[in-house]
Amino acid sequence: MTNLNEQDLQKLTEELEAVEIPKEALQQARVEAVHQHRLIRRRKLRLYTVASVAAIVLLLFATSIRVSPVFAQAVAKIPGFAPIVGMIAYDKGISDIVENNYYEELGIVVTQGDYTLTLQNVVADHSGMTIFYNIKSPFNLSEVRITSLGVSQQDIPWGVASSYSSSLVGGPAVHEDKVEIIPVDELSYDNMSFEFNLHLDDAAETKFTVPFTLTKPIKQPKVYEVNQSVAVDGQTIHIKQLEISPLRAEIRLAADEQNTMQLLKFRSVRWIDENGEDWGQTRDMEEGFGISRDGEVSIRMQSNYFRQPKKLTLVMERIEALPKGSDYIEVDFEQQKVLYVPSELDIDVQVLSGNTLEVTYPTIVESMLLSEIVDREGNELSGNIISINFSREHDYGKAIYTFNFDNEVSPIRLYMNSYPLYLDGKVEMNISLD
Amino acid sequence: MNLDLEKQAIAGNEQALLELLKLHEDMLYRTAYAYLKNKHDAVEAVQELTYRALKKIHTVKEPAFLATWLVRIMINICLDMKKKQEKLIYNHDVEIASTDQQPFEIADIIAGLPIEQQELIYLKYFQDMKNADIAQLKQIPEGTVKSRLHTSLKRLRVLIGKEEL
Repeated sequence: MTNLNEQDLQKLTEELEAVEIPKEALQQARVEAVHQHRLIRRRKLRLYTVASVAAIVLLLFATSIRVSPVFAQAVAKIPGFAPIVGMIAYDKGISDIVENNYYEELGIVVTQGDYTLTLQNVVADHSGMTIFYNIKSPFNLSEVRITSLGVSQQDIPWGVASSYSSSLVGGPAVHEDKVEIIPVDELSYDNMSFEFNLHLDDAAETKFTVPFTLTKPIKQPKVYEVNQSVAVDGQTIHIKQLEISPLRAEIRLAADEQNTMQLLKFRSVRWIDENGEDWGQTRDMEEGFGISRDGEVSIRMQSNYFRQPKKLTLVMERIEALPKGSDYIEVDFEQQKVLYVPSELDIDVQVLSGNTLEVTYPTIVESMLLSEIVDREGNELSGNIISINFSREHDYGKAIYTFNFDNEVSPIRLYMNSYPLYLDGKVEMNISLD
Repeated sequence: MNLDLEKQAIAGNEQALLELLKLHEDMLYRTAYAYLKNKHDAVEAVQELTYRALKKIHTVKEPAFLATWLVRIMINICLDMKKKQEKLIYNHDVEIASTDQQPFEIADIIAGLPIEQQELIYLKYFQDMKNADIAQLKQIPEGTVKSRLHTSLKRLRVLIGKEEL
């Protein structure tokens, strides 16, 4: 070929046109990409830094101890709720939902191979969707795990599943659980038809895709613009907005830019109404909620949607914070050197290789030690983490981060996500709801 | 041009972006195929494209540029993947002496051009766009499109010449 002419390009065009388009594989690839993207977005949202299966299962047990017997009896009378009393009774928001009939009975039963999936009830609002379901099988379920669980609309994931237990706990042949779906951006109910997707890791790799449709109207959240500020230990926190939906209430806060401390986690947040009754964090709060570096955070609480309190007192205690400027560690992977570790913290950092990092920290750290990771040019690198391996020895935990770098530029900063140093004092603020 | 879908996608509507990717899937997949020459890698490129698009869609300023933007990312992804492919098959085929033209041979040669020029060629010849449309997309005068295309083709000829040696 000595001369390029239009025919050569024409030939390529024809060759390309002859290429068959694998429509299904492409659709699947896009769905995968959406999942992948959401997972990382989710990590960025810092709500569920590491949703460890073990932790979730433990929480289920821990929380079921708090059941009030009176309430448990009442709830147990409602079809489908009896087995899960333990999971819901501690959350007053869910109690109110049950009492006010704000849930939809589905009763959809689907059998696939050795397994029968029943969708029992669903509660849906603009803060999320909680679905109660069970799986039955003539075989022992304890060997089987749930590998994926979520809700979609026409194959596109709808919100993300925030909590469920991935091992099939319960009796040997019945697994009862609920899954909470939370929004990534906003949840839309323009289309009320959904699919519930559940994959198992049994030999047959059983996959359920169960369509369901909501018929009851979705309640709009009550939104209060608060816009009040409060100071604690010289740091200003702006309480911006309160949005109450049936499933949960959400408070939006921001740290003042002039603050000298970087706020990390709010370990205890609750509110008290004029009768002295108090609402705590929802279970996902166990992680503690952090303020992102751009200064905003949403804290999700048990909801009092169905009550009409006149005022609420917001109480926030045990606020983790570090002085700004000593709230990160910095390493150079190219030269395999640690550049900066705040001296006041009891942590040790080693660069093991051009893409691995080992961090040793006291186990009294209640959440993930580190979160946001950026390179010199401000590129967010949390998507480049291949794995984090945790181990524990005496009072110290060790995390080994392995990255997959492309063109990232050292030095790389890893910001602290949690450390047990607290602001001196607590926040107590009255919010009137008129 | 009705750009509602593009506008919504840029505003962060995931569904709209997915719709657009589906709309252009033939063109995007074929572009990937030209570079990678097999179904598996081309599908993977589409997945990576979707992911990157979701991640960076907010950086697109002009709805009209969205399609070009997607082609540009796709070419970038393919070049990266090709690099990896080449690393893997390093020592193998050294035989290029065959006089028969391999399928997609020209695509390999195009891949040697600066990315701006690759993009131009794909838009012009494989998406069958008119110079005027490209000019509008890229917001440059039609004359410039013409001269850039000319330069690209000239370079392409030089590259083909080298291949012959």
